[in-house]
Amino acid sequence: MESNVVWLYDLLAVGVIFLLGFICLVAMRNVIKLLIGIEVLTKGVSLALIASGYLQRNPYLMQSVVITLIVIEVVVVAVALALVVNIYRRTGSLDIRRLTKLKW
Amino acid sequence: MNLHIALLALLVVSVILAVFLTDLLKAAIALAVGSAVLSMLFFWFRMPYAGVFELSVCAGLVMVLLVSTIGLTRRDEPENEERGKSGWLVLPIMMLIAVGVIDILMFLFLHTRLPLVHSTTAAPTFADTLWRVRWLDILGQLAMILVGVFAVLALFRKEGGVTSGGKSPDSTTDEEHGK
Repeated sequence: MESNVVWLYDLLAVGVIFLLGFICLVAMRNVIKLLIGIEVLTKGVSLALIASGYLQRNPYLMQSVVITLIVIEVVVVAVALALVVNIYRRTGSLDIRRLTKLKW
Repeated sequence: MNLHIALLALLVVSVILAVFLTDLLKAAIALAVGSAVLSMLFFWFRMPYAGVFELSVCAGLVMVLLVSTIGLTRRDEPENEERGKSGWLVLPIMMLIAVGVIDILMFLFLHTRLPLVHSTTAAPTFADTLWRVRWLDILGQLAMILVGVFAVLALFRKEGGVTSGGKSPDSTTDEEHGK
């Protein structure tokens, strides 16, 4: 029963975190804020995986999956931030609405 | 149990701050605090390896990358863009309440039928799981890291003394042409 209660609180937190991440992706115009939104979504995924591993009593498998997720997240953030710096140098702005062309 | 709920609440609060703070530096710090709290949650779940990774990589490395990028760009950008958007807060708050209600209903009616994640093998240790059961993930991680390194190198490569993403000294942007 205790694991079910734990799952309830984690489910609530994962839902709220996911919602906040989607709001950030939809409502914000700053590209760094969009990256923060992606990070927030990843936090929700990590929490869901770890909580399910705890519930299933299979911690090792979920830890290895979460470590893979963290590595992929870091690579995505690094490449995206390099893109952000290039975008800023090209357009002089971080506003996503100014990126209307696929060609400079 | 109380510690678990307190950590979850702290995580949600730091995520809210990271999303809604207009100062990018403060938002990045709030995100790092959220990562640290999440790593504490991992330790609470008795999953120390994931906790260490989350703390060192997400709260440390990603924070450094974000702060460096914010330092390379202007810091007064978001205040100018996102001022006067307080009306937007009504919709997120309503949606937050809605998702909370949906979560509670789902738990009340469906928690006995939640799909379970099947355990693949009963590996005795974490090292066995990571290196033998999930060995393909390690290859994927290596490939991702290599791709990331080459992508960053390509994005910052120099072409005739000028950074690819940068402006050459005698070139002008569309904005300057517009003036």
